Amino acid sequence: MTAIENPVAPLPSKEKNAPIRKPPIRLLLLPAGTLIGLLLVCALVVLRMSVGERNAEWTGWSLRAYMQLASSRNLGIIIDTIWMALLSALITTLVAFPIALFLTRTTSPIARRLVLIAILLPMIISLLVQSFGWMAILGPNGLLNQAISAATGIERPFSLLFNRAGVMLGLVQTSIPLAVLPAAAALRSIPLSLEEAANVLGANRIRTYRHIILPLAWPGMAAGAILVFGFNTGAFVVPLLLGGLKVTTIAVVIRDQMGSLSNWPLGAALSVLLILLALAVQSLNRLIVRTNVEIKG
Amino acid sequence: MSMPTATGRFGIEWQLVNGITCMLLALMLAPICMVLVISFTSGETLQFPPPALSLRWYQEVWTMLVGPDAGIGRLRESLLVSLEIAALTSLVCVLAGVPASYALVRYRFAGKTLIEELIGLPVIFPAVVLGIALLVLVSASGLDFGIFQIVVAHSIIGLPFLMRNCMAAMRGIDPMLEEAAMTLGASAPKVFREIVLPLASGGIASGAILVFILSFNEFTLSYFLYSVDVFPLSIWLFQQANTSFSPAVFAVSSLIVVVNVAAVLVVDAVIGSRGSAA
Repeated sequence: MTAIENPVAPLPSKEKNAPIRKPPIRLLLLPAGTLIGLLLVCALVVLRMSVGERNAEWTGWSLRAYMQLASSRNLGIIIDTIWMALLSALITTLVAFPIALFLTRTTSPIARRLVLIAILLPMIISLLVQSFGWMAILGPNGLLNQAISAATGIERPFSLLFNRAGVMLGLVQTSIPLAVLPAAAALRSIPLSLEEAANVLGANRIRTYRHIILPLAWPGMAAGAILVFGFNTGAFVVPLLLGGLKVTTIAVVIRDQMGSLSNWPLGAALSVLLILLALAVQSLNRLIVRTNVEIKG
Repeated sequence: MSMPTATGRFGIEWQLVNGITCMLLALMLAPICMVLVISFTSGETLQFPPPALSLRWYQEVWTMLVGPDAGIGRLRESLLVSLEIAALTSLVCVLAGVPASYALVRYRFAGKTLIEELIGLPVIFPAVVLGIALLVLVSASGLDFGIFQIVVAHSIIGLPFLMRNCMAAMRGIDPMLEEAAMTLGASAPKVFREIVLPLASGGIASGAILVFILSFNEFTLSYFLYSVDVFPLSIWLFQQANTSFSPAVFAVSSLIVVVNVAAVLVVDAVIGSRGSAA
């Protein structure tokens, strides 16, 4: 009987009832922690330089850079950047809504997957490549101007490139997936039966949208809008490539101040501002997601 | 009102949603399509529509890549540098991200939420600030890191993308499997190697490909950290855009688009086959 009681001989384990040993947590987190640590060091570097003095960024202490932020030129650029980010967030959210509706309602998995890939491509593919395409469409001799002059006979080329309209187009185009995915997730969580009930009770489609779909989808749409806003406050490539030298954002000014103008403290102070904006946007996003979960839960 | 329209999946409303979606997607993909079409032009300029179709600019690119004068235009050099950076970045992200993902999925410890927040930080951190700060650090150190200053920068922003995929895959592994293996006497490294890694390999692979594309296309960080010797493809394209603008640049761009689309399809297939697509 003793042999049957113990059919499998215990393996030569030193501590029989000891908890299963796993590798130490610190060792597992060390490599990733080093990378993230470097990011934090970068944040500290700009923080230190922002309170440094010009040409003595590591030794001097001064708050002049932050006072320069309030100069009318810098304030204008800050407000302008935030305004463009806001406007792009609004447009992107509006544009994303029908696409999100399509994604949630289509019954064809192939169409769904194709649309998903189609909205992801503009975000993934190098903006340089896409800006070449925009130049061919929007430039002075581009497709759009050809079409306009053919239709109206007006020969004076009007350009959508190297101005705010071109930048806005680029900002919206590259951030659409950020708005579509949360909106689609929110729309998917609305049970069909609610829409059917509204219909049975005599609501037309417009009332259904106003009183059922939009109120239930708005946390997802807001989350997407906030994401787009956060993403576009740091916009650098789009204004650099599609804005020519006419449209400046905070990120472009940081480049100029740290580079050719060599006012490092001012560039660093603007960097601190961008980091704070990003963190604020992230917290706002968390807040909306959490409230939404609490309501649903 | 008839029943089928009650949920907006049929009728005029559905056609409207369909139509608007198609229009928006066409607009979004217009620049990419434009690049593809113009790259096949037979002419010398970027005119649209092209006078005739030809492969002459692809032949041109081929000579730029492997011809006797390949060293002059720097296209081959920058392509190879970009591939090297992307491969190294994927490697660094896998080596750093896989153990950390395992720790976050399987361990309970104090400060876990904080670490999860920190891992997500690179996604929202302004790339310009990261690029500038790294540049300041590199020049303050006085050392020449060569290719590695871009690899490290790309690894920082790639890490969250790899870990997101990897953690999703690891969450799908039944902890009982690991416990069973350990009870049967397998050491912790062996369990990791023979149970966790094979079962998470799809997530790790799709994450690694994603990081590879991200790095290959990345512009902002490369813009601040490139040097005369380390000259990635995105910087090459940027310089072309500012100087000569021949259809050859469009042909190079088209090849990049094809590589990107292929990579996206592979990721999609890997994630899709695991039944966890978005």
